Amino acid sequence: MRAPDALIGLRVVAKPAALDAVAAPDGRPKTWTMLRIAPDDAIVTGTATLTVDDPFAIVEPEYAFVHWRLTTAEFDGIKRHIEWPLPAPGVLGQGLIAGVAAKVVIASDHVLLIVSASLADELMDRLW
Amino acid sequence: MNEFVETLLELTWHEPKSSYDVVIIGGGGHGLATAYYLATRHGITNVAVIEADYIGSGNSGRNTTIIRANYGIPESIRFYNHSVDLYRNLEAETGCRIMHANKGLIWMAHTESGMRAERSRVQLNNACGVETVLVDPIEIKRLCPQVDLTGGGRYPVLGASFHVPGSTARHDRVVWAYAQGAMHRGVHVLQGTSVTGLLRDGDRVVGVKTSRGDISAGIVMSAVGGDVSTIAAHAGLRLPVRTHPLQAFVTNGYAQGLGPIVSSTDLLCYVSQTARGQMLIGHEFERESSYSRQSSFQFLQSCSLKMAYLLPFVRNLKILRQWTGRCDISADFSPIMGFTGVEGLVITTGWGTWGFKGIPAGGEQMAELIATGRTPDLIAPFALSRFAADHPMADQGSTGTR
Amino acid sequence: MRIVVDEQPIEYAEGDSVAVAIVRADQHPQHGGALCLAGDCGNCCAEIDGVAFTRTCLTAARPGLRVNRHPAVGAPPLHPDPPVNPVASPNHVASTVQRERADVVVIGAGESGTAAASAARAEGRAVTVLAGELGHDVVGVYPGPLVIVRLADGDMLHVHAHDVVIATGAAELHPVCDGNMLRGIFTAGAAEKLSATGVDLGMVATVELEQLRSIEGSDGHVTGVVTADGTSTPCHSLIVTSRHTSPRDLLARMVSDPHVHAAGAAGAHFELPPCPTTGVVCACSKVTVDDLQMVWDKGFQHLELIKRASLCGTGTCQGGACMPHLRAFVTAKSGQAAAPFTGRPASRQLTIGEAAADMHLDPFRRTALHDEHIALGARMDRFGGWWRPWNYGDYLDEYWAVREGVSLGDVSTLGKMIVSGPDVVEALERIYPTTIHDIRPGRSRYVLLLNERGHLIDDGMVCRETSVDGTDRFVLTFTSGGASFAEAWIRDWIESWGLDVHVLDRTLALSAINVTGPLASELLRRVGLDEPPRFLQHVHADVAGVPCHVLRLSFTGEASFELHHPRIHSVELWQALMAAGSDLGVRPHGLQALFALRLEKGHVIVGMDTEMDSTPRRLNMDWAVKLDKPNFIGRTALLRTADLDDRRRLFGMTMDGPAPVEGAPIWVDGQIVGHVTSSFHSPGLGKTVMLGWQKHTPFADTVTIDDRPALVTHPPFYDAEGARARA
Repeated sequence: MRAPDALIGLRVVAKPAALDAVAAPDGRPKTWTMLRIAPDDAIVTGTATLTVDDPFAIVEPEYAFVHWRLTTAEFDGIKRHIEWPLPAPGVLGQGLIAGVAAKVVIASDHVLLIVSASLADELMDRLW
Repeated sequence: MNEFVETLLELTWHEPKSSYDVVIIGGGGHGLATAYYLATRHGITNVAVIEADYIGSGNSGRNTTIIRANYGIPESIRFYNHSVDLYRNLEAETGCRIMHANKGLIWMAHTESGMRAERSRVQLNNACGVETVLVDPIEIKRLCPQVDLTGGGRYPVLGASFHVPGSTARHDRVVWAYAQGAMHRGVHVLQGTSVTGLLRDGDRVVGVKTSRGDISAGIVMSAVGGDVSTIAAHAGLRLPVRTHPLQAFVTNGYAQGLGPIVSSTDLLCYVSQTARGQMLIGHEFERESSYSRQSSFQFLQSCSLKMAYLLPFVRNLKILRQWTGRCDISADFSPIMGFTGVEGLVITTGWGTWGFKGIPAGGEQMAELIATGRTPDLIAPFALSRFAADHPMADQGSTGTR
Repeated sequence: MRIVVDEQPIEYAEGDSVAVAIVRADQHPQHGGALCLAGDCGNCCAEIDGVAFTRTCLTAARPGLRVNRHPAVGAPPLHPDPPVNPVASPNHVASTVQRERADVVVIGAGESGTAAASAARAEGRAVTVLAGELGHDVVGVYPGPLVIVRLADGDMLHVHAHDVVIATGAAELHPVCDGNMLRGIFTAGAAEKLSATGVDLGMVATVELEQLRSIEGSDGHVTGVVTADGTSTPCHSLIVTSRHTSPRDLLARMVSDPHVHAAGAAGAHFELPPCPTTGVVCACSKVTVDDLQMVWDKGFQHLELIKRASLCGTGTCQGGACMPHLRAFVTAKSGQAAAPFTGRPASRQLTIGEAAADMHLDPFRRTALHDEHIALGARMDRFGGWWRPWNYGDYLDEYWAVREGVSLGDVSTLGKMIVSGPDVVEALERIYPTTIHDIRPGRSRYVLLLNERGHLIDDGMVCRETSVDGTDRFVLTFTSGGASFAEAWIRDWIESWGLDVHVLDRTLALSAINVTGPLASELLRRVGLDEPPRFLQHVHADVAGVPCHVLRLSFTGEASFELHHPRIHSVELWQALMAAGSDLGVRPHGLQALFALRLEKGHVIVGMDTEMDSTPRRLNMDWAVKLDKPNFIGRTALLRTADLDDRRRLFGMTMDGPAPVEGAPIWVDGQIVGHVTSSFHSPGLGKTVMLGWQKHTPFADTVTIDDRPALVTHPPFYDAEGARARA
């Protein structure tokens, strides 16, 4: 399997309502993608800056993760390592894959497989 | 007949009396051993041992039968070493075949911190007169040729401590040996009898309420496993004890081939081969406390994988049985023995995953405590009062747990 | 087509199981006993392709299959390992796991199974039917419920279900009488299967189990049968029928779960057979009726005690064949109905390899500099969940580089966390035992982390950030091993207090390089850090073009700068520092050197020098605890124990000569009073320095270790004034 790419984005920790507002900006077209890890915690890709309506929000560049953009066939090949129910398309799913904490987002023609960079080698050894 | 049918022992049952000098709650190893030593060492035979199910039905019949003294603090090393000595002589003393086998125990390390722990263990064991030696991978291979020194390519073996007196014995037979020895001297063992409460005279405990009626007692001892908090609560006593499940499994029987007991300090799992040729395998207790005795597949998966890493030959062995016991874990991972502060009630608990090892010494010392009214030196450090006095006996690293 | 049984080829017919092939050759797969050919008993088990206790009745014959009968006496052999290639097969496990989910799993495709499946489908539920005739060997039902299945090709199938219906039907009874371990005895079902495949059983007698008195034989094979009325009938094969059956409810008894149900015969009430009077009851463990009677007479009068005293029911089939007879025996003797013992994964046993299939243990993390360390010749070790360099060859060379020059340490594994919010100072004041509010922006403070019992669980730094917009923000650090626990600990407390604080763990996002040694400032100037922060200050600055959070502190005893930086820039930063410092003799140091360096300063490592119940007082760290603060985690416990007699203390010690092994006992007056937790023969100090516990009072000023005197002192042993760290 090919080496993964760094996941470039912003990590945002803020009040859930403030994150909700970022996720669905009224009127304007959305130019970024938000992976909601927790109600108050998200990774936002596709933008270098972000305005969050929370004076104490923590907005930092995220470097912790790498990702593979897998074809649907490639993802089918590793499905058996996933013991939890797969998320609906477009929804972030988080859990162990082959014993390694990972995240997946299923899109129509591909699947994002996201893992901590510190565990990427181990996950590759286990999956491929 | 197979060679393991019990042919020597004879158990004698009695109907309950309304009063005994000593009532022991819990017909497992500790309760029966205490009754045995009361009878044999102190001539106290007006004793009842009350068991809710059948004798040895709790952890005494569910443990992995390992006897060892390679602990990490002098108080524990001395206590368990005394138990090792008593076990060694138990067949001769009782005339019962407990199938005691001295095999040695290899405790392997796969990291520098694991090696540090094993070096430390060796130092302190020897200082307390217990033979534990540091062995290198070549010596490990000599002691146990089946070990994969690469640890499946993932857990390379850097070395080990080898605990020379490490032994096993058939758990049921230990229970029965003590039961027979006590019964034949007049001790009553009451199976299928539940203790539902304690009889009180003011603050003092003067007996037990049971499913077969009240029984008064000069002194009551709790040797209960798993439900000790409930018994203690009847006396208004709260114990620093939590109950955790502990699982184990066993394979079919194969020809003898695995010499020593093999264990890993980093992977926290162990295996020994029984007299029937079965591989008896376990690992640390479950993190979540619970009274459940359900067995989990996750345990079987991870424990099997650890074993396959360390001893690849096991992967073709068929798993026969899997089961779960309940461990009472004290706040400092050491047992609690002695007076409780409640008149008329003494206790032996907190036996975690090390209860089987402690049966002879625990029984002998508790019998002395009951007979003399004084705490013997060997178990004084294990008193319940140590928690209030902030004199803990922390020895987490030696309990095979983390 | 032929299989090989005990080194001898045997012809088989298309569709034969191994057991049928062996019977076709007028042999027996084991050494005797009735055959059910339905997987219920253990009488057909043999070693197949190296795996003993394999049911030949459930194994399809294929050309060249190697079958070895278990020995007549004793257990099957343990085989030495085949050569292992850990790279090709890291798990040492061949099979893989398929996973499925289902609303309802029905085990068994007979009448009741089919009915249960139809009923569930009618309710619109997704049903998975598992059955032997479909190639499924169900080996266990676990809490969940989780159903474990062995597939025909050797793979495993794990099915998570909402409900499980066990419809495995009933098993035929095996005869218990004299001669019941002879070859040539079949249940009615087995005989039917054999006749359907054209196996010639020779002269056959058919007898009802209840009418059976004894079976006669010679050379281990049946020659005749005697019925209750004394009639003797010669035969070559005996077919035993019975009006009794026993439920195949083993799977149902494995787990107590309201979502696991037994249906049909597997869940029905059964009448026990007559109490056996003679013969072998448990063929797996070779237990006779006489054995049961003997242990009964000796006082073992409880089904579990009889089982344990005789081993009846503890063999391969786990009571599958003997349980009805054992229960009948106990019921007849005691006059009380005897319940069966707990079911175990049994009649379709897993191998350890199958159980471990596709299983993984906890992964170990790699820092961004992993490959750099390998390239520099590091010996990597697992420590606190991470791969870390233990040394790069000679740890004393690394020690001297720190003491006399400059050295790099990869401390990416340190826990790092950002906290902010209106209540952040209040939260930190409650979490840490020292004061937080008086830490000025741009400054940092060493802190202990205590649990409710006042025991040390971690330590680290609290750095207050310089506010840009009036909001308060802190960066916290934790030990490498304690980081993941500390994150959960802090989140849990903040949430239970209901304080308004945001928490972001940065451990995995940021790497960290510790630049340490008297030439550290010089090296940093060369890569663009013109004004390195002063001791206990921290700044955000570019170093070699990489944005860094620079923390000035000292664990090694020399001036130290921790460069926290984006993980993606680690390699370039590391390489820039190594290149810029080549003429300064810069070299990396590993954990082994670090442990020695910090020991000279007397810094404890949580978990190495501390025990699970170490209070600050026991570690001489009362200075890091402000009991006059209104509240912090552990304060109540520390107040309670403050006036108690405390018998243990961690001390520094020095002695001449080589360092004792860590763990060496410390003696006073011939008694062990404690042990050494850390030791190092310091080439810089010319003596051995140690930390260790005394657990007896009064504490001694001189102790004996390794039969040599050691002086008890208070650390640090090196640069007591801290001039070098502040330089």
